[in-house]
Amino acid sequence: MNAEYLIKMANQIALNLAYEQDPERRADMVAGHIRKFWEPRMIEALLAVDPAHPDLSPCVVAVLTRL
Amino acid sequence: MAAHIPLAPVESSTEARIRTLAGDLKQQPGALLPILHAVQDTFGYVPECTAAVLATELALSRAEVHGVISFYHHFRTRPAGAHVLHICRAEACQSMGSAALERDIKQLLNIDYHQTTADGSVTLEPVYCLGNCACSPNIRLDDAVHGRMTLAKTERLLQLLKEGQA
Amino acid sequence: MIGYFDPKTDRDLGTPASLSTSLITLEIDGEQVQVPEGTSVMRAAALAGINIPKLCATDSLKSFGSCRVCLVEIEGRRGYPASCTTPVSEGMVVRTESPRINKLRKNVMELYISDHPLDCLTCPSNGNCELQDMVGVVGLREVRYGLSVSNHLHLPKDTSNPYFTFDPSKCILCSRCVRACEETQGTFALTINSRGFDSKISAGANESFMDSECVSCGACVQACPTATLSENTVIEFGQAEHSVITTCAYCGVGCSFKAEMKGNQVVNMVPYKDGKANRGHACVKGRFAFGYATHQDRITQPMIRDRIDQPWRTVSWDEAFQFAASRIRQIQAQYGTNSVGAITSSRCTNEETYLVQKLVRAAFGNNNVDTCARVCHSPTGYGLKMTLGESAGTQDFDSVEHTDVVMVIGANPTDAHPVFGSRLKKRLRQGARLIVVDPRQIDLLKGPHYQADHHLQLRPGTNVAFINAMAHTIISEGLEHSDFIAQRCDQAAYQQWLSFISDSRHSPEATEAITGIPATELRAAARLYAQGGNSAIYYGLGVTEHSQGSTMVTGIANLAMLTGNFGRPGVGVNPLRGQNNVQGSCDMGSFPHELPGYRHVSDSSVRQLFEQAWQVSLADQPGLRIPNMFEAAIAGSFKALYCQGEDIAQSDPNTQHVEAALGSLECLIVQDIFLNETAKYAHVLLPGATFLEKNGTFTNAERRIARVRKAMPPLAGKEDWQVTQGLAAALGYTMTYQHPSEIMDEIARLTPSFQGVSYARLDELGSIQWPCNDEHPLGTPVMHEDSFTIGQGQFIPTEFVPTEERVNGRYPLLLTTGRILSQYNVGAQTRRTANVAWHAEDVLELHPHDAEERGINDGDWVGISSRAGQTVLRARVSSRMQPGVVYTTFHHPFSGANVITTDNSDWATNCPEYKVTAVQAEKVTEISKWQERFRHLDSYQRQLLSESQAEA
Ligand code: SF4
Ligand code: SF4
Ligand code: SF4
Ligand code: FES
Ligand code: FES
Repeated sequence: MNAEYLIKMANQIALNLAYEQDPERRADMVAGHIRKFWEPRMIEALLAVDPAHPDLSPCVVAVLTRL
Repeated sequence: MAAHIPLAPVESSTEARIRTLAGDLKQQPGALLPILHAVQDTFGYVPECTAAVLATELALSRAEVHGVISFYHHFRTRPAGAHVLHICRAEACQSMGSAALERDIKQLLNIDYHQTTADGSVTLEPVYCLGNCACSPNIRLDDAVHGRMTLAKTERLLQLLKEGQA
Repeated sequence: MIGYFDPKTDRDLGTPASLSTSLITLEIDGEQVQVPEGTSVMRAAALAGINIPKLCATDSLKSFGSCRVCLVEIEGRRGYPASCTTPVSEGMVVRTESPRINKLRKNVMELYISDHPLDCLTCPSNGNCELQDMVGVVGLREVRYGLSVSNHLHLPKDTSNPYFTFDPSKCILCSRCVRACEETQGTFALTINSRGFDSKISAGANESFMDSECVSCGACVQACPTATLSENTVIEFGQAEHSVITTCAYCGVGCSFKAEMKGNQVVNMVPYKDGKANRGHACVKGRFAFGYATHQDRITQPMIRDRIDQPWRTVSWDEAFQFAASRIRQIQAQYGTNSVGAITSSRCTNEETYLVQKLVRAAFGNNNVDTCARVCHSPTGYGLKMTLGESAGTQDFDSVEHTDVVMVIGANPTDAHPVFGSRLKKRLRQGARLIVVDPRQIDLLKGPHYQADHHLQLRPGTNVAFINAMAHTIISEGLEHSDFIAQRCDQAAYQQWLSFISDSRHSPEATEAITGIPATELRAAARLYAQGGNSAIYYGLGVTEHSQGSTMVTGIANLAMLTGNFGRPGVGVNPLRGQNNVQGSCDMGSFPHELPGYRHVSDSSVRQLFEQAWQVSLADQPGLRIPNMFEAAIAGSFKALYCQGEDIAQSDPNTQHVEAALGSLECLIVQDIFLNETAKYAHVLLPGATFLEKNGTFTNAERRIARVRKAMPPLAGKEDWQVTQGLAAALGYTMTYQHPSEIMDEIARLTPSFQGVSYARLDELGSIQWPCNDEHPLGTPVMHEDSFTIGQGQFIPTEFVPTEERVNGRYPLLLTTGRILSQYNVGAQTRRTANVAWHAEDVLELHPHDAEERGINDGDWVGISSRAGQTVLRARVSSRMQPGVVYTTFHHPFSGANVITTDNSDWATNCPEYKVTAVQAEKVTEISKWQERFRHLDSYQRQLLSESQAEA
């Protein structure tokens, strides 16, 4: 699936959970949300994104290792 | 529901004036009647847009305002003619044949009560006792009361009016 | 089988029930009668089985006492008091009949009849006329006065309304219509014009019904005891010979109706008095707009084709099922199990929705099922589940009668939920206070005899900043309900939230620049909400259809917990659901991550339960949501879709993107009553059945499960659940339901909150609000009474993250979308009825200032473009909008409102952001490119359809 679409969604989730100030806990929350609502092929496609991709927010980079 | 989505408020000056009249009075309880009187005093009649304007001003519906306007014959919904002819419909006059007179005058002018002749010269209104019962049946043309009326006398009066000498 | 169900309890008792609990004993015609204090003598007699003659009284309206046929004798009282206006008193002795009374009544009736046309035999009300009945009851045998010279028989009829006729010659001036419009509907469109002999019922200021304020709800028609106000269908076809109690299939109010029938033909839809959602009221859609059911455009035979540029081939049901099933299996073989999915409809019944998700999970073998609720109320599910533990509104509609402060956020109840709107307005007239939070000036703001206290006219897209400012104000001014928070809410979560919300960036002074709401106004509204007594929040799509929809729902729940507004009548958080069965379709497991009853697919114990019942093994990972399906389709990994009763091509945002997705499917199965926009991309067309043609249940916005009863056979021979069952069988998965009641039994067995629900129970109770189980055998009108479903209420911080959709030089205006009273959703049904008399096209509303700047006049064609696309609509210059904000509806496909909406969506649920799109508007002379293509495709596909029908 289109990586940009998934990056945008993941970034948006991270942004909306930004009230959690602890970066570790926040990454856990984002990963939890994604596991709860995303279909496997979406998760796979997100995992296929290069962690150095400029559009990935730092939180989502941390999420990639948790999925 | 036709007026569901209001158009841009291109407000006529009439509407604006009614709104101002309402603004002065709307705080008092039962404001509708005093406002309607003020409107009629200002314009000489109650313009058609009054129901809509007062409905929004007083949080009522158009129908409610209209119901009140139409309930009181006092409120005129069209400008009166140049002259107003009142026919008395109360008991004394009735007993002296005012009903027939009424019918004849209506026919003569070709209008009903609360209407104005096509040329705008005369408005016909009913009235209940003019305090001149001894000379029934009575009519009043503008400010003058005329007793023991007949159709012929009315015709003459109106003729004089036309010639500008009544 | 057609299950006739008419409990015949809707007798007219003359005056409304008294709510008093103290009882009064009196004697009527020698019988001892005990009734609540405040009951009228008329009602007391009716309860004792004695029907006192009446004309101006009816039990849906306050008594009025004008006709005088109901007079009685009361011992110790002089004269003959009217029984409808006389309350009972202890020890009262009443006589309802005597020669003297009868004589007086006869005199009254004689006067009425002397000015009444005597054409009873050919009158549309013949067989259902209270005037006729009363004449019969009093035994009037002659009319002495003859018809006088001056009578009302010459008065002209008003036929301006497409659904009912006003024939003033038959009017007895009982004013029941006037009072119905006032008390029941709250529009006050009728009055008595003039007085005395000249009195006449008038709509508006002596206007035609159509030109007046009338919203065509039909309450006056129902209240009229004579033929003066009659439904045109009754005038045309005559009185019904039987009736079926069922539920409206339009909006989330879920009004109960009596479908009045002649054989298989509906002649009238009358709101059912014992319906607990609507209490005998209805709106123009449910009451009158049922003609679509027999419209010539109905699809009546299954059809198939290999490619979408081919003409349709009419086939048998079996052939259609085989064709569809073999394509699905072939696609799965080629592209994998997860390459197919389905969309359930919020318009179909619970049972049908349940079957579709069962088909996906059991026969497709994946979780790729979603519902159109995705695009409207999915954030409600998320927000309420996270904070309170249950994805549903907390109250029943009756609750509003106990509300002191109503806060309406992003909802337009007088248009979208009209019957609830009327009930709300009634409460407002009684003095409840009103806060409206909406970018637009909605009708609810001001009406006859009430006015909103606050209109917080915020900028579209800033809801969360607003709700945070409300909570901040309540905290900073010490107005929170500490006891409630201490007893009912999770303390750790509360503390975390408290430190979040106390930050001064959430103060109304700080958010003013974002929301545009003056801080003083917001503070005043917050105080009113926190201190005004029972405060209730009602919200709609203006809350959910944003990129922060889920956050906003969470914020609403936080606010209500903060002020202790849960767990009793009059308070709560109430989502106003768009379509009739949004609640139900969500309850039935239509979401790709949840099995019925909102239980996550990863929960192995729940899965086991269903695996045993369904005899299959179930996938344990979430499936694709609708927008994800589109993405996957474009990416090539999603190839087949079964779409039941849902027009995604018109209703989903960014039409061109949706069209591209649909165009790349190898098998699209559409089940619908018409050739909808989606069907133009379909390979299999399965005819659907309307709500009149099937059995089932709907669940309305207050969690009320109500029966849908079959009134006529399905046009194409199958109810929708039978179609799904047929498709499942062709896929090799057998389901053997004989009747939807068996499906409900299975749901009840597998879902704790439905445990006590069955068709027998529904017949007995009329309707049931879930949860219904051993603990709540009669259902649950008010939820979270002693504790939240989740246990301790969870406060969750709600960070305001502005949408990416911002105005700029190129797109300087914000477009927001909504709906209007006479049309429903994509309009497939209402556009095929006389409702088009009110809304023939979608228009773009814009503020005079914005219009002037662009040289746009009322009625001009305007091109609206966004980064997603362009369309052309007619302009309506209106000061309802704030400058900079434009508005449109999406009831007509050609308008292409969704061509301009973008694919931005809610962060948590992917609910599209319909409510905010940055656009430009300019005067144009021709339709847009998309519209040209639409026109072309539309006529092409219609041609393909008619070719097949000619062949058949
Ligand atoms: S149809 Fe409804 S809104 Fe119209 S006049 Fe009758 S009661 Fe009033
Ligand atoms: S129209 Fe019907 S309800 Fe209204 S006053 Fe006349 S008879 Fe009564
Ligand atoms: S559309 Fe809604 S309010 Fe209207 S009759 Fe149907 S359920 Fe009731
Ligand atoms: S009754 Fe006519 S003047 Fe008195
Ligand atoms: S029914 Fe009592 S006065 Fe009309």
